[in-house]
Formats: sequence, structure tokens, C-alpha cells
Amino acid sequence: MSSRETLIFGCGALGHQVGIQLTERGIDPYLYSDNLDEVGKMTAKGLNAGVLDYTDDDNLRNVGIGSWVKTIFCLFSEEAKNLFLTLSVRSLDPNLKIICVSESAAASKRLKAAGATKVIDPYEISGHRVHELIARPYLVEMLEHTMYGKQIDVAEIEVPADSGLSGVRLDRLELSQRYNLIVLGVVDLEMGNQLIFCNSGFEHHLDPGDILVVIGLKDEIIRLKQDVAGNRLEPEPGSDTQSL
Amino acid sequence: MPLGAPEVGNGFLDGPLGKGRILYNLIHRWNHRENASKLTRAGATHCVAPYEVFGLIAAEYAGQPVAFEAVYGLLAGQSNEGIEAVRLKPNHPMVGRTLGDMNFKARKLILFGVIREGMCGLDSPVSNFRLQKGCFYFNPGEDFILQDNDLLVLFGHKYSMLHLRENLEKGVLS
Repeated sequence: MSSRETLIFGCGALGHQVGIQLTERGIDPYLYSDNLDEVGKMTAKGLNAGVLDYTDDDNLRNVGIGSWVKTIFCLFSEEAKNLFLTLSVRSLDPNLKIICVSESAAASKRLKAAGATKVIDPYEISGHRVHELIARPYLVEMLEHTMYGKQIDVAEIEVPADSGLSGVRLDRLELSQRYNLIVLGVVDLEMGNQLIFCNSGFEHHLDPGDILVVIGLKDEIIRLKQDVAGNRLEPEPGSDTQSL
Repeated sequence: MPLGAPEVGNGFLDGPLGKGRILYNLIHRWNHRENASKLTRAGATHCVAPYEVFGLIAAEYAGQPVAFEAVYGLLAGQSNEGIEAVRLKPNHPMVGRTLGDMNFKARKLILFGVIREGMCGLDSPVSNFRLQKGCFYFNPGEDFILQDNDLLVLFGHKYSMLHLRENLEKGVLS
């Protein structure tokens, strides 16, 4: 049994891909399946995996659902299994982040109703990608080489309490001149989860708890995060307090 | 567009189609990384990997749900704001001028970068990434000088984008 915070249920090709991507991001997941052969394949590929009867709630509790587990992925190839698992884990932990795979819009609705936090349809995403490859191939290539290729990262940075960022007008946040990154906008969770664009013309003053969404090189994002955490962002000399 | 499930079948299709590569834009689906290079060699122009893309998106969501929702919405065209590329035609009045002259802030747009034909400049002070047919300059500064056929990659509202595109077409920037 694992003591990890992130679990993947389903050891097929999808489970394998998510396992690899999480590991690359420094998250160490544990994979479970009710299929011994699939588990064997995952362990042979270097991932931590085990056999588990997910239909028994006691087994789910034993692997940390309802206590230390924060995120699970429901990646069985059968929708019925993902639905059953989602219903089970949601009843054990109302705050658990549950990410499910879906193969149709109807299945997505059912999984959401069962309690999934996020439902992702790989075929919908691929369909969109194919359309983009035809309509805007140069843009797709650029995104694949940069953002999807992980050379350029997307990050969220929460404005801490007592931060020098508090009160600064979003459209006067000139961080892209000090750091090699782009501030795309901010999400004010009190107003919903919609991104407020930097240049939208909307007059938004930053508050503690606001989440800045930035795009840039990894090192520059780390530098900005450190400066925000250490409250080392000061207004430029001569600028008003609404600017940074 | 061979998008069937078994990659063996998709690769087989490429044989006859590959001969007409000038006419066909062959887009493939693959689920196992080792098969991507085989499909490219068989003549595929592009490969799409649903499972890999899913893994990427799911892992990103797990770590940064707020940023993910914001940026994925833009990239997937799910909102009025999005990402677009606007080309600067040869001999356009803006050619030879700087990015600062474009004043994206006043146009309610955010510049992501510039895609330029040719090789990346080794000594360029701007972060750059090589593409198949050109170079992507990320977050170039206001003194970056525009050239013929530069593609400006921008984030913003579709109407802001349309306005810029129309002005560039007319050769005016008002």
C-alpha cells in the first residue's frame, strides 16, 4: 500500500502517460488496477503500481482516500468503472480532486454528476488539435515546441497577504520588463475562476489571494515566485503606488 | 487523415497516400511514442497523440488548476479571448519599425512572441526557439525591429485582434 497523495486508477496506456507526466513534474504517483497483467506492465516500465479491488471502500480507505490522498485520476478504459470509483471516492472525501477520462460529452456529464472535479476527453482535445493543424499549422508548431514542449511554462502565483503587489493596478504591472515572462492576467477567486486579462481595460487592483497567471522560462518563473514570496517587489522609483 | 485506432493500419495507408505528399496533409494519430517516428518516416506530415496530450493536460491540471483552466480556455478557443497570429506583409509600413511602435497595450493585446522565417540568431538577446521553418522569439522587447513576413503571436479579445488585423491590412495603425 502507498502513502502517496496522488493515485492513478487504471494501468492502461492513459495511466502510463499520466504517470510519466506527473513524475516529470516531481509528483510521485502510485498506480492501481484490478488487472494483474496491467500492473505488471507498469512496474516493468518503472512506475509504482499495485493490484487493488476498488469496489471495496475499505480498500480505498487503506490507500488513503478520505485521509492523506489529495488527487486521484480515474483512467479505466470502461466508463462504468470510472463512474463507480468516482461515486465511491466522492462519498469518502468531499474535498478530493477527482480527474476522470471521458470518451463522449454524455459520459462527461455523467462523471461530473457522480462528483468528478474535472473531466477530460482525449478525443475532443485531439479533434481540436487536428483542426488547428489544418487551420493554423504555424501556431500549433510553435506551441508544441514551446508550451507543450515544456520549454516555456505556465505558472500560477498567489498574491500573499501583506504583499507589495496588493493595491497595484493589474494593467500597470510591468513585470515583463524585469523578468523574461509574460503576465497574462489574474484570477480573482472571489469573482469566479475567469481570467482577467492584463490588457482587457478592466480596472482591477490586486488583492491577497488573487492568482497571477504567467508564461515564461522556468528560471524566470522561479525568480518571480521567490521575489513574490520574499516580498521583494517594490514600485519603480518615481512611479505611483498603483504601478509596479 | 488516418486517425484509426491501430497505428499499423494508419501506417499502411500512408504508402499510396505518401506519394501525393504535395497534395495531402497527412495527420496521424498514435498512442505509443515509438510509433511516431515510424509514421513520420512513412510520410505523415503531423502526428497527434491523444493519450500523450491527455497526460500532459491532466498532469498540468493536477498541479496548477487555476492557471490550467485560464490558459487551456485560451488555447482551446473556448472564450472570446484567445491566441492568434497576425502576419506583417512584405513592405508594410511597420517593417523596419519597432514592436514598441505597435503599442499593443493600447490595443488591449498581449504579445507572446514573433515567428520569423529563417534560422534563429545565435547572438540574439531575445529567448528564441527553433521551429521547422523559422524561429520563435519569446517576449521580445519594445526595441525589437520588425521584418517582412513576421508573424506576431498575440493574446487578446477576438475584436481587438480583428481591429489590429484590419489596420495592418490598410497599412494604418490608429
